[in-house]
Amino acid sequence: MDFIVVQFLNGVASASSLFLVASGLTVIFGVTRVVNFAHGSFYMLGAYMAYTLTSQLPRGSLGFWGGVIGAALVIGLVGALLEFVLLRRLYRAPELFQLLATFGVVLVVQDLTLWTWGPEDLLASRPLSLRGAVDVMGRSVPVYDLVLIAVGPVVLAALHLLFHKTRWGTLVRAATQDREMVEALGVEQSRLFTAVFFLGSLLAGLGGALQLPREAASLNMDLAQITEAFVVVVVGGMGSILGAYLAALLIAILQAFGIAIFPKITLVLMFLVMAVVLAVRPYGLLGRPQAVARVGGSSLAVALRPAGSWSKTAAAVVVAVLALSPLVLGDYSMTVLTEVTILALFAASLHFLMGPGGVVSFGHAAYFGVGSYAVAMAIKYSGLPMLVAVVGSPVAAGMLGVAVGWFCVRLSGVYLAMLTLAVAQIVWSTAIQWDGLTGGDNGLLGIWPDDWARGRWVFYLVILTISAGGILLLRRAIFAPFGYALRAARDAPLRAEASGINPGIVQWAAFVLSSALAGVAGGLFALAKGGVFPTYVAIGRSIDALLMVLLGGVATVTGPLVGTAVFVALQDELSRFTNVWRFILGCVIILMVLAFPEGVVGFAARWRRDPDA
Amino acid sequence: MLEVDGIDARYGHAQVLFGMSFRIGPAEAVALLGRNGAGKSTLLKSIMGLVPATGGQIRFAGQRIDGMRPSRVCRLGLGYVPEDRRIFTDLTVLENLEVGRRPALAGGEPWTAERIFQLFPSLGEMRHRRGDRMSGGEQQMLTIARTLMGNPTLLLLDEPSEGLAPRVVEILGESLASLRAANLALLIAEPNLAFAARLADRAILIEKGRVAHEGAIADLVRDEEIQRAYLGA
Repeated sequence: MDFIVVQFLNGVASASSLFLVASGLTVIFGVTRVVNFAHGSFYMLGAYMAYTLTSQLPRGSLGFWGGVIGAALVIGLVGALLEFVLLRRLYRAPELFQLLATFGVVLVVQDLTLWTWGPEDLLASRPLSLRGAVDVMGRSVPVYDLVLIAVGPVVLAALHLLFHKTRWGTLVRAATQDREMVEALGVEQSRLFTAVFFLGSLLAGLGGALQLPREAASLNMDLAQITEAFVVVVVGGMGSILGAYLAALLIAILQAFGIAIFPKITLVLMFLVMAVVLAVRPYGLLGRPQAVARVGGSSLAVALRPAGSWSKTAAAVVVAVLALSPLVLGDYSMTVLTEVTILALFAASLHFLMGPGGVVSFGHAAYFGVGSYAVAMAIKYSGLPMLVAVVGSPVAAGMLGVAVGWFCVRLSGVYLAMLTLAVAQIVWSTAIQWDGLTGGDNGLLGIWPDDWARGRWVFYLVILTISAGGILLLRRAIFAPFGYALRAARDAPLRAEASGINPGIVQWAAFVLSSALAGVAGGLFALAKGGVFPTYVAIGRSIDALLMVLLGGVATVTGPLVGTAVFVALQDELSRFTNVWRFILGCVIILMVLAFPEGVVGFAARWRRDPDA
Repeated sequence: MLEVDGIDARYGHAQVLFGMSFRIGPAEAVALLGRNGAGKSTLLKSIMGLVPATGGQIRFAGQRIDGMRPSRVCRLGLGYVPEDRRIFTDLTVLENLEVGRRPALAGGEPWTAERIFQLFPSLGEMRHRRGDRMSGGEQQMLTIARTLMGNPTLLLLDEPSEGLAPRVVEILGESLASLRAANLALLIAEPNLAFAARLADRAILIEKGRVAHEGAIADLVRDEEIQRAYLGA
């Protein structure tokens, strides 16, 4: 009994900080429709800022609370500044570009934090008055935890009053529903949005600052926290603050018991909860159907045209040049080229789902990773020949696609994005935690091609053949009747249904095809690298795929291929010549989104007035 | 007070308005007539700044308003009542009115919730009801009431009688007539000639994004040939 009570209190204490971050995210999303990836960075900055302030201010309760509140205010201003300088220019861009821009901010903030505070974890000391512990049923519970337990409901009540008893709150709720109408009634949208960003970022900063005495400020707080906050927001229902609190409680309490009883399950647990909730209630616990267009939106729906004879010749020339490249390129360049060739297939598979399919996957690395592990295990444990093992990758990834796709075609917008992200996190956690099978953090090594394919010439030709074949297959599918049905289901589901197309089935099939080919890319990647690691499934790889597609442009078929080349070149060059590559890559992403909201190839196509770039 | 001078507007590549010009004097009530798709809604939206005018000029109260943000246009005294009502369904009647509230421009008694409830008594009986629990007619009254709370000097109404029962149209007509009697200028886009004729003195007929005919509405009511040509009546 005492064990249950103590774990329960521990969970409720953790829920408060999670709730603060998630409520900020949900408020920002509700009004501005921006899915702010940088929200986790504000949480991290809140913790670092609180460290600096509390160590400067005099010790004691006053200094501590002054530091915490000061940090929250500073982060609120940083958020307002971000809105004013960057996001304001992107409200009319597709949601995905906003997401991409905020991810650029994540990268920039990571390096800025590293410069400012250094690589060490920083732990603040609690003031004396908050140091003790209270005896609860024979076990001691830290006083600070009790303070945190109170903070959640206090902030919940304060937000409720703010949104229901003030004019500003009424305007915010109205704007959440129809911001254009609010503007037409004389309320300046841009000022409202800046204020909302101030409030949302302040809450994230407060969450980080309050967490500091429990958990050291570290450089990987941002992505960990944003993932959890997304899950909380989605489980609670997008835009519902009470829902966010309930979801934070549910997840934090389950986590607290999970850690105590069965530590291995903790990473998976949160996402399992989300998958179950979304399967039963597609809009979260207290959410209602969104009046938002599917992510991607109509502005991405540009007509695609099959390749003309000129484009076909150009494609053949490119493949021929690639096939001959081992003649002239050195070993290092060949390694990079092999990687680009494989990742191009990965990006093309995601593009197929996002562009023609209209389904955005935030966790495409899941299928890439499953494919790579399938090949690795087939070779390692069964000693199968390479080409047989490679066949296993689309089968394994496709099977996962069948299961996940079934859920995904029932969801839309942000919910869909979050479910795909959750699946990727489950696969990633499994790869880390099931070390008997997957080798855990160390991965599986010694996954080399068969002897006949060891030569760099032969191996590259194998990779090129399979990748180009996969890309060609996707292209064929886009311009086959199936592709037309798919685009009809994306652009006008009701009319598609009226003409005899079952949109759900068509999108499901596209999901499976896309995951199977992502799996092939993963399998080839394992062979090229000689091993598999959990990083193949990490969030970072899913984001890389999105960046490749978006850099190239969703609206064109060649886009993802060019995007892959640009992305790999950027990352590779930057990480070779500078140690601040994240900062530079982040700035490049932000500038590209600002300059070419249609992607590189989309921009070039518009410039040439030729839709089939 | 409103001068529209040769404006064009487009959605993407499709041009909807072609060099439209007309004027509305102080306290004048004008009906904007035309078939579905003639460009009535687009015209109101481009006056309001919700759809940018790509050519021409719009002046209101002596200022250029084309290119201005809708919120600034509203603050100059233009009130916009959208065709699909667009009330905030999560908010109560009183909260909807609060969103529309703005300080009055010089002169005149400002609108308050109580004055609104004298004009639309049925809204007064449901001040705490949420927007999604109201009938279509009640929502239509609320959307007009919400815009009035901004104390406009010219009210742009987009198809206020659309989809309402005859009895409700009757009540709505009376309320609008009393606003008209209080010297509020009106520009009403309306396919229903009879409803428009009760409120307006003058009519502008538009077809395919151009002004096709302008004149006293009383003449139009008698002229069945023009009605057949432009209204499909």
